[in-house]
Amino acid sequence: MDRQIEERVQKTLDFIRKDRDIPEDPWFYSRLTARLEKEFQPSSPVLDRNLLWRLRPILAGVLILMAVTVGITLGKVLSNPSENQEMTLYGITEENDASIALFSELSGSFEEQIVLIK
Amino acid sequence: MTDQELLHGIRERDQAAFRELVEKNQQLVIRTCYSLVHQLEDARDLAQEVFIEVMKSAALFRGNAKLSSWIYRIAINKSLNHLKRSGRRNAFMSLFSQDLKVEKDASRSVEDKELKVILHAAIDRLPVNQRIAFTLHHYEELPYKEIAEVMNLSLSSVESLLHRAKLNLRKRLSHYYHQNLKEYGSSN
Repeated sequence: MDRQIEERVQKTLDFIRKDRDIPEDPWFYSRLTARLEKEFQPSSPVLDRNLLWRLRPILAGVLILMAVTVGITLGKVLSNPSENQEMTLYGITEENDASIALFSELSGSFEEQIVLIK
Repeated sequence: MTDQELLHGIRERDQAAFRELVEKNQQLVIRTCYSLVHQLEDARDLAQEVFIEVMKSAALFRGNAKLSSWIYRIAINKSLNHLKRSGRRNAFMSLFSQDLKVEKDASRSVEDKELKVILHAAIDRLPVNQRIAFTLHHYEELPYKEIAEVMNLSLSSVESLLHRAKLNLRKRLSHYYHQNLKEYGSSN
């Protein structure tokens, strides 16, 4: 069996001689020059258009994201307008109350001052 | 044209010089790529990439090595990168570790196709440096000195690499056939 194995190993290694016989490719040079022309072609507007065409999913994504953001912002602002109004009124009332209190405080002290002068 | 004249011509974008370089080295490059990637069409595509690289980098070549050695180096790098990208090496390795899916008609004469698969799988399992040295010596029939120049190693390192590569290949092939013949024997 060992001899049989040894023979097979040798046969496999001898196969290298057959394996390295590669048929010539008659079109190799013409295919290479065609590829070279492509490779060394200066970038043209067509290429830029191609690039934009390839980037269209990204551009579409950015546009959608922008639209969603604007939508959310506008929605927040415009939703529940009555609540906004109430808040404003409440704010104004609060401000008025504070002004009245300050006024009466000031006027009180003014009266006291007059009494003191008198 | 001499190597220097060819290089000068390529740097000057001389089409005749480039054509001569390609015709002179075409088979050498395809064979080197094929010995590593084992697919003829892939090897031809890679060979085209090699010549494009030669065209692009001709100005950077300092000429301290033989032109053919430089081209071999580019071909080897391109092939190894291709293998990395495609992951074919792993596929072959796993194929080999699964005792090769070759028809188990071992008592009959083994077909060339089977021999090819077994040989390629065994070569693919060699460590990279051994693989390069082995293929350059056995597929390209390069002398040790030129292999040393291509691989940028000393002569003794190349001798050692080749010796170990041969031992490893024999060991792997013996193991494979040992398993294969045993299984075939037990199935009968």
